[in-house]
Parts: sequence; structure tokens; C-alpha cells
Amino acid sequence: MSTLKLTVETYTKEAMGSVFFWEVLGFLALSEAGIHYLYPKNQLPLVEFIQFLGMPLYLFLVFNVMFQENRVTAFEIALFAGWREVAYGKFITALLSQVPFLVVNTLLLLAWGYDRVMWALIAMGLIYSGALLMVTLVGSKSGSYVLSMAFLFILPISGVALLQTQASLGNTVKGFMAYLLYVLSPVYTAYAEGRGLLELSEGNLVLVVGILTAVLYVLYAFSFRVRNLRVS
Amino acid sequence: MGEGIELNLRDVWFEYTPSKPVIKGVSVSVRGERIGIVGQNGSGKTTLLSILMGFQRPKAGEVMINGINPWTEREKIIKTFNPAFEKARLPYAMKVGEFVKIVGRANGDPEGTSALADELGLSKFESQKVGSLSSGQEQLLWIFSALADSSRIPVLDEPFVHLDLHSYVRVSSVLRRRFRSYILTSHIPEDVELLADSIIVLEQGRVIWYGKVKELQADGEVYDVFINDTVPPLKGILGDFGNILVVRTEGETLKRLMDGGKILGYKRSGVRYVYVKANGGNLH
Repeated sequence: MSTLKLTVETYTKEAMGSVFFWEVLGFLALSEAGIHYLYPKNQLPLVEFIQFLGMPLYLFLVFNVMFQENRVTAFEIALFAGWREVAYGKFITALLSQVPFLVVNTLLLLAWGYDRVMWALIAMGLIYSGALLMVTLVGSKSGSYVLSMAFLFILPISGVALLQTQASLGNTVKGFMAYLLYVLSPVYTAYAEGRGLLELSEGNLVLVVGILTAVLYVLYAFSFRVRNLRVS
Repeated sequence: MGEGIELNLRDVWFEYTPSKPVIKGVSVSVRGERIGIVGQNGSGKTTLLSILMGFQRPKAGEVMINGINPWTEREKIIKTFNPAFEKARLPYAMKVGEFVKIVGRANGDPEGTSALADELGLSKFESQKVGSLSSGQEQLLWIFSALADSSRIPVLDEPFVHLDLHSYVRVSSVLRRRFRSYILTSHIPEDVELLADSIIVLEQGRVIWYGKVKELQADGEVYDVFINDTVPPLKGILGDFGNILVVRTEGETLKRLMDGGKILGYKRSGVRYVYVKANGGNLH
């Protein structure tokens, strides 16, 4: 237990211990404030900023310390004398390190009346963390970068392109496709749902997000401990 | 610390790419305290070590080390052995001093760990960030982390590759003094001949010899002869390793040649003679 605490402490400090980290967080919060005051009647610019820039940038910053070569992971497993400690240490750090961003944004979004988006932001943190934890298993920095870029930037934008195509045809996106879009870009999709572009049920959303994140987290914990680590 | 190491491998195979095995039917049974694995670059040393430490699952065969199956008992093997692999570029933003403290907290002996850091010379660059260290300093750091936990058996992969002479002396001294048991790999025969009591010689994924160092050097009067540019007037040259010749001759002859300045020196041959026997005379 104490080794797990040390692992979490070490990773958290690596992820959030630099001045740069807090500068980025401050920059994002200030940008959001700026956008809100520039467009007080239109929520779309801020939604787009959070979905396509703010949150992805923040998550990339946090997970960057966890995108490691297999050799480094092997080094850490030896250092902390356990596979479990390193796997769970990264998992807990991934969740903990989102707290500053979520706290700042939750307060701002609540104050500005973006309730719907706020819940989607939390869902986004949970889903994206699961996906990025899986990406940490790739075992190469460059491979992790490519995949994380896809998860954080390319797929959400592709989802939006699909949604806009449907909207331009006068269609309302429903069923599986609607939930898939939510998973890919939760904040934007939550906003679009409020505009009537797609149909989502709150109960199903909780279920989808809950099951998906649980599956991703369990899969990560399992895969971490049974994977081959190439160190040569 | 250490109760010795018992290594039992039976027909172990491993491949990174299908149909291109890098470990080819390795079978050894070694019981010793200080085990050295020696082989040329690409002979499979690191891969074998990663299998022994549970980082890789062998494609076939049985692996047991101190009664532990490394793949199925990964948590146990890592709590018994403390491996450090070559070429780990450590990307951390923390300073070396902070890293030393983490290692101390992880092994439960902060004071002993700090003393070891001083002894290995880490204190000289404790204010530098880990991610900005030179390859030699970084290597020293990972060796340090493997040697800091006296409750586990260190397993060092090519530990001396980037070290200067002073660091080499410090590391080998700590290794001998603090640990009764360890495993190390090297491509330099002298590293393992001097620091191990049992040796496994690997070549292209196969074990070509294993046993005690004493047995390795017991084969008649065969010497490694250190030379300059000129090949001395010697009969019985069995193998050519550049500036080192493997020669079957009498010690008196070599002493005479050395006194006459014809050769730089000589020592009883060990691993190089194994290579010679395996390759029919010439390594190249």
C-alpha cells in the first residue's frame, strides 16, 4: 500500500509538479474566460474550445509523462518492485491529475450556466482517460503520440463532421450513432443535443459512459499485468 | 544478501518476429551465487534476461529461477530480483537528489540508500534533472537503483558499457561487497570472468558453454595474449580477436615474449577460448 502511495506521489509530481503545467492550466482558464466574455450569448465557441483544444491539450500534458518506452516501464516496475503498483499508480494518477482542470472548469461552467456541458466534461475526462491509459500500453513514445493525437483530436473532429453532415441533411442522429458521437466528443455532442441535432437519453448515457469506462479501466489493469515488455 | 541463484531452463525458445527466433532451444542448469551471461551483440543476452525477469513470455520451453516461474509469478520474481536494463533513457523531470529519496523510500532504507548514492558518486550531480543526464550518469543511476535494495538480488544488463574507469571500480566494488548473489551480462569476457563464479556463454541465441569459471579456465595452457600491431612469433595461435590472440603455448614462452616487449601481456583464456572452439578458430 505504501509503495502504491509512493508510485502515485511520484507520477503525480512528474505530471503536475512543473510550473509549465500550472501555466498551461492558467492559460486555458483565462482563454475560456476571454471566449465567454467575447461571446456571452453564444455557447458554441467555448464548447468548441473545451472539446477540441482545452481538454485534449490538458490531457496530453498529463499523459505525456505516462507515454513511455517499454524499457522505462520495466525500470519503474523494478524500482517499485511490482507490476500492480505501477499499473494502479498510473491509473490513480490519471484520475487525480484531472482534478485541477475539472474543478476550474466546473466552477466556471456552472457560473456561466453551461450545466449540460459540465456533466459532459466529466464524462469526457473519464472516457478519454480510459482510452489514453490503453494508449500507454503501446510501449513506445512515438506510437503513443500518434494514437493519442487520434483519440484527442482527429476522432472528435471526425465525429463532428459526421454530425454536421446529418444536420445539413435535416436528419436527427439517433441510437447507436448518437451514443458513439457522444463517446467521441462528449462536450460538443452534449451541446448539439441541447440544440436538437441528436437524441440521447440521460439514463442510457450514464449506462454507456459507465460501462465503457469500466471496460477500459479493467482492460487496462489486466493488459498491463499480462503484457510482454520488450527491453532489448 | 543472497542465498544463491538456481537457474533451470529447458528448451527455451523466443522470437520477436515470427519464424525468426532470437533464443533457440536454450537449456541450462546453473547453481551459483554470481552468474555472468556473456555473448556478442545480438546474441540474446538481454532477451534471455528479460525472460528470466518475467518481462517476456517464452514461446516455448520451461523457465525456473530460484523455484519461481517468472512469467506466471511476475510479482514474486520482481520482489526477489531487481533488474536494471541497458539503454533505459529515463525521461523524468525530477532531480537526481529527489530520485535518490524515492529509491530510499521504495526500499525502506533512506539512509543506506543515500550513503550508497554518495559512494557511487551520484551526489556530484544530484541537482541535475534525471532527464538531462549523460548516458554514463544515467547508467550509474539505474545501476544505483538496482543496488540500493539489499533485500533483492541485482540483475544487471551490460552494467559497465558507458561507465568511466572510476565508476567501474566503484560499482564493481559495491557489487562484490554488498551482494553475495547477482546476475550480470556483458559482451566483454573479462567483466564476467572477474565478477562471476558461473558463466553462460551465448552465441546467436544458443548456449555454447556454461559452467563454473574454474572449469572454463582449466583446459590446458591456453592463453589470451595481448598484442600491439605486430603479431609476435608464436606457434599455436588458435584464434584472432584483433589485439587479443588465443594461443596454446607454455606460460614461460609468453613471459619471455613479454619481457622482450613482443607482447603486452597475457592471461589464462576463458570465454574467448570457448568462442574459438565454437567457431573453429576465428571469430570474424
